[in-house]
Amino acid sequence: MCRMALIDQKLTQIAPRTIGRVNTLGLWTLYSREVKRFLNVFTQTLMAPVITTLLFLAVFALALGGLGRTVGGVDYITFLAPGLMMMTMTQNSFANTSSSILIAKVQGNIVDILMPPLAPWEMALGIAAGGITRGLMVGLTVFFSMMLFLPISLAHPLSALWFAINACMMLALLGMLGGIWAQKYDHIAAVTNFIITPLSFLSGTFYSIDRLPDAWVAVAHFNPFFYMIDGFRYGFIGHADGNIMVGAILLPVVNLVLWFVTHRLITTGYRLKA
Amino acid sequence: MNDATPDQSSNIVHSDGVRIIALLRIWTLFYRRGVVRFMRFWVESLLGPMVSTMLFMTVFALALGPDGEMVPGLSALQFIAPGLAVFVLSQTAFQNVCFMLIIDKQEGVITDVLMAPLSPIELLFGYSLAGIANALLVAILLLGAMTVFTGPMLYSFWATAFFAISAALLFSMIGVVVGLWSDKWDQFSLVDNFLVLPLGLLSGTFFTLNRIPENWQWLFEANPMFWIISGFRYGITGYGSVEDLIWQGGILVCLILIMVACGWLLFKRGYKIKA
Repeated sequence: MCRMALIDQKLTQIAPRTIGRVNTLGLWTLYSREVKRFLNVFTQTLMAPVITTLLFLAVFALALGGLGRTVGGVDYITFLAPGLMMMTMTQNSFANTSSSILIAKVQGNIVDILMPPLAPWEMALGIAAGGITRGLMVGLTVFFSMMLFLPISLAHPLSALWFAINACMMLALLGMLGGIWAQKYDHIAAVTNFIITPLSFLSGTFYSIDRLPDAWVAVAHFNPFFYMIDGFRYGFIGHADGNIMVGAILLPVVNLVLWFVTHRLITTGYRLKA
Repeated sequence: MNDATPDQSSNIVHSDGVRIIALLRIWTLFYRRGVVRFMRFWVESLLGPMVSTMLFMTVFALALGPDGEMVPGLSALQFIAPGLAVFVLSQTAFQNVCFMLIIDKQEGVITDVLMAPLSPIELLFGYSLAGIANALLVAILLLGAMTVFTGPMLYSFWATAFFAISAALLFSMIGVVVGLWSDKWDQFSLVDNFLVLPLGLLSGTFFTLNRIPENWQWLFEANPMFWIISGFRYGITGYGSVEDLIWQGGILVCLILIMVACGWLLFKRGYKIKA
């Protein structure tokens, strides 16, 4: 009899978990799943981008620097380093969220994310935060490994941080949109090859935009990557090509818009739910 | 003749009839599976590498500005263009073959290919020729597109062709070995990120060796990609020392033969593809 009472007691203890306004446990679980997903293959997701960025830096420095070439009042390599760092961060944020959603869709385990009691905004936040984390981790690793070779100094650390977080967030959200829209790996490869890479290459990472013909300077100002890289670089060398305030305000505004679009898509279940 | 087991079929190629059939087999695997596949995905296999390489050229043109010759008689862009083209060629050859093999293995389609009466050497060339064709096509298209920056250039057709085909052969064979060895994409991207890309970037595509400190130069001179790029650049622009190219070309041929032998051996053994 005593035993029965014990079992009774246990049964009442495992009553359904009540979830408050925010499913903190669920959100945390989704976020840590996103982080573990890329840490599990850290050679591909952290090491490879770091090595590639350092190689790029070496190649461009050897090919273009060395002749006392200066851009914006600093050595070419000092000018280049922050831009490359930002490019790698954004590419990795995008890759993380887009591949996470697409792989889940292709393999069918997206239901494991859709079924739990997670609100659309919690799902969006958990996945986006994973992408931002990867971007920032890659950025920090690149930063510290560049410090081994270059005297890098931060003129305005908070500005650099602001632009880093906003840029990673923008690409993480874009990656989610891409991942939701894409139905095959080809689709996401096309977005990466024909939209993300060109925008990030033609953003003023490798040259100061006053190199461009006048007509193209105006075009460059429509490229969000220009503001990310320019603002981030301002945080390092204290010199910006454009107006830094424009970027500092524009990026969060764009992020807000992207957030609403993403949230809307997840709520309606566009290409996620049958 | 069709009764021959796969292992013997290549040894009994005597009459013309049988030889034609052997070619037909390679053709089927090469064309029907390889070429049709990359042409179907031409956006990724042709357009993708072209767009990113042309972006690279644009960025270099903008970053360099109008000034400067890299070496006497060649502008920096003229110096970079051939190297970039042949690097993309090598990478495409490697990736294409790897992709085909890994996808065939993952989807289990490889058994269909293994069941067909194909000898190991036919399998080897069936797979690698598709990668070679894709790579050469990318390089030709790229060289055409690059004339926007460089103007038309061709110094020696034969040197260009020799180094282009050597590069495609060598890297498609590396692709075969890596593709057979890879159980997952991880192993492929390991080699791609930590071997192929560094070999290509640290090879004198973008700068001459005298930009490098003396005691590091040997590292570049020992890089097969460096020989390929120097040779190909010689073929296109006429810049480079012919003496060096002859021994470098010689070693390349030896390397290719070694890799062909490795690929053949792996297919013969059925390494990771036969139970």
